[in-house]
Amino acid sequence: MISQFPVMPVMPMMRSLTVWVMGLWIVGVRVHGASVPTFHEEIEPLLHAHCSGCHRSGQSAPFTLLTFADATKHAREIVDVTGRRFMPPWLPSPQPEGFVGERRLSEAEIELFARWAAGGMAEGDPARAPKPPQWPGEWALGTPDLIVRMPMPYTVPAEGRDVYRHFVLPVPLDRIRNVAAWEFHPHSRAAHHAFLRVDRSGDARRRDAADPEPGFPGMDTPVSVRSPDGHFASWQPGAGPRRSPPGLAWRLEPDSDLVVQMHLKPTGKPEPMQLELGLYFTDQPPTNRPVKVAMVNYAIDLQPGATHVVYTDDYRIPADADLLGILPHTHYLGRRIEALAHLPDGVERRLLLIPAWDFNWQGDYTYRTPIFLPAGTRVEMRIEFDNSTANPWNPSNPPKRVRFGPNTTDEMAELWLQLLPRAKEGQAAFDKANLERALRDAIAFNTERLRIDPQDGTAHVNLGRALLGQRRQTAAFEHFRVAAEVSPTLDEAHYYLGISHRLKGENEQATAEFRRTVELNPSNTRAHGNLGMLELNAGHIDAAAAEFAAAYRLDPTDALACSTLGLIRLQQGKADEARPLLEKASQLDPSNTEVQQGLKFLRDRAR
Amino acid sequence: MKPNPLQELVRRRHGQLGFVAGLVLLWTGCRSLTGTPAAALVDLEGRSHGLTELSGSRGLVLVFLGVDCPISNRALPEISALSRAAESRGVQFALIYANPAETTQQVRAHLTEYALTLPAFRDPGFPVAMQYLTHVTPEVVLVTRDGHLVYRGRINDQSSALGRDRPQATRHDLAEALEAFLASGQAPGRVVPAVGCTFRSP
Repeated sequence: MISQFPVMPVMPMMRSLTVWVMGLWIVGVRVHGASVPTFHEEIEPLLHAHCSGCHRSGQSAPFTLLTFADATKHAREIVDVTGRRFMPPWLPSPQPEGFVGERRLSEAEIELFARWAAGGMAEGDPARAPKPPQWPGEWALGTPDLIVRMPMPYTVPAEGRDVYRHFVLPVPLDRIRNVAAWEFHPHSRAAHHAFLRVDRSGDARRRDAADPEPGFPGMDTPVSVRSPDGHFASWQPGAGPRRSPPGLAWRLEPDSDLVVQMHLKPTGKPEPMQLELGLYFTDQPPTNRPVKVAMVNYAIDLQPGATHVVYTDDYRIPADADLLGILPHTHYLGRRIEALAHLPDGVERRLLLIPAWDFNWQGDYTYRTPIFLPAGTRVEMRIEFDNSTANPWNPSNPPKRVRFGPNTTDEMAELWLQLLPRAKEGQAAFDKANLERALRDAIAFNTERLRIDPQDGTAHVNLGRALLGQRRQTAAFEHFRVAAEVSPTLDEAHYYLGISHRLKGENEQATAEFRRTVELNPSNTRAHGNLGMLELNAGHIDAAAAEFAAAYRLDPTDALACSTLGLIRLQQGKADEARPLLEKASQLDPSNTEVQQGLKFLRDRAR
Repeated sequence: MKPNPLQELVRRRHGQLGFVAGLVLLWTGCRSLTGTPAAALVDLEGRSHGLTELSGSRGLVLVFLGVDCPISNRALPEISALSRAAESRGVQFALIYANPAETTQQVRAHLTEYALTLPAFRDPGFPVAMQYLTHVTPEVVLVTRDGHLVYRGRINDQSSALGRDRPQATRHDLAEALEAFLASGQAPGRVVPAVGCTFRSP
């Protein structure tokens, strides 16, 4: 091939070098069998399709990738990050079922970027440029039915470690609404990923109020703050609006708060952030509800330097169901995630493979075509960890021993499935299986916590509660006893010790423990209720009434306290006090026949 | 197997390049040994400044940065803090916006946006970047007042590739190098590769 172009030994050195380079270029062209790509013809359409959605002004990416100047300035970065498949960000390997919102370049497209850069970043003919891209309006699905906004901006500090924080957004609703779609606007380049959750308990609001700045810190979400019913709700930069499949809208009730858990990265300057959520409602109530199941391994214990350590868990599908979505979760030491379905006929099917996990880009994945999993399928989670210095994400250098826990320097191994049972009865089978797993997980989780700190009173209480759920009373009582011993000022420890005594018929000891509970925490409603019952059984009517009154004052939805107090007042001949209580109790629990009889008595007497 | 002519051509060409690169290395090595930096930086008004003029009584830190490189931007508060602490101990910092694709107007806007008060320069034609073999942002060079190399490379270990970063840095290489230099006055010429956005071909 070299002999095909002229060799002129008499040429001055510079000119001969030019011919060399020219020759290499010509040879290169022949070898590739294609012309060198130019910006306007090959690169610009790729940028618009895969990059500019985020890499444009006002969006989340750190620089713009729209013009020839942008592309030449960042050419090396583009070749690097596309070649490593770091950009566009998408963690799972391709699945035959496909994923909604999948963002992948083909091998040929990656090679185009590389060839364009290596070939001198030719601009090409501007007349052959593609049409300028049309970006969606502010809200991709049009004006939302409701926009909720953080009341006050939060400022991400200029420097320091990554920030994990929850932001609480009260939702002004007058009735139950069904959310068909939502879109998240963080309005900040510091935003890296987010999970949307719902809180009906007020816990998140209280945590927010206790923190001087908007929101409250931590990767650890309060237990009462939950994902929308049956759904995962994650966001990463570039993710558009999230739509629920038809019939699977999620319910949002009045007095709920939306809670956004965010991972924020300092950018070098203070970044004020005032996020917005756009909600789209539907009048079609959900016709079905997906169930979520979790595989979790709490036994993580990674020695410094440990590599290729795999933690697993599995879940047996109790009834025929379609797998709609999947959510893996681990922190910075997780390297590879795999989910496998072992079907009853012996066939093994891969549900998810993330060959190179990246905490920064975590999220959930919805299959384009749901995967049918017949009853009896065993789903297996396999998560591989690397706690060596070779893991560039390792938050500790030198590496430290790492165990299960919610903080960045702890680890987790979780895999969640979103399933739609094929038959109505399937739902009950999942509920039963999930309750059993919840108890099993609570036992495993709290056992692990006690292994780390045997003096953790709350872990003893929670372990005891899970054991009670499994009807293992003797073991449960022992944990409540130890809880009260190691955490003598923990009201819940005394409360559950009181419960143990009540279950054993030891009423005096039970009364003493419930008294201790309300001394420690006068607003422990359940302790007041139990004291009321014990006093009532002992024939101390006035003392019982005082306890039920306290319980009802603390929690006006406590139907038992309300009805019992009403009936006591009726018995005491205080009809004026009894009537409103019984009327309220009838609203709270229309099935209580004693309340109905009491009300009937009052009506008859009035006549 | 007979090598094909193309491979042969590429091999010969690489051989030549390697030789040239060797010469360049030898030349820069000799220059840093002789310890007289001749290259100058250009401030935003277009005036030239020799490196000795910019140096503190003991040394100078050159910070190569860009206006839109996320790794570089995230490290700026650390640079500002280190410069405040080092100034009174005889080490001055200078910011170098070396990427020719960035306009002086963009540089001024960046200085304001990130509240940077350090002196800022350009390096047209890369004389300083070539002298110290820097090619990415952020990359720092710590030299003694008479031009001996103390440290060159990354600021910290937060990023190990573009977009691949830990929740927090676990090593602060520039801070360590500064501390060691201020304590000992030695110029060991330590190099730790930097990761970031490329402003010239390596």
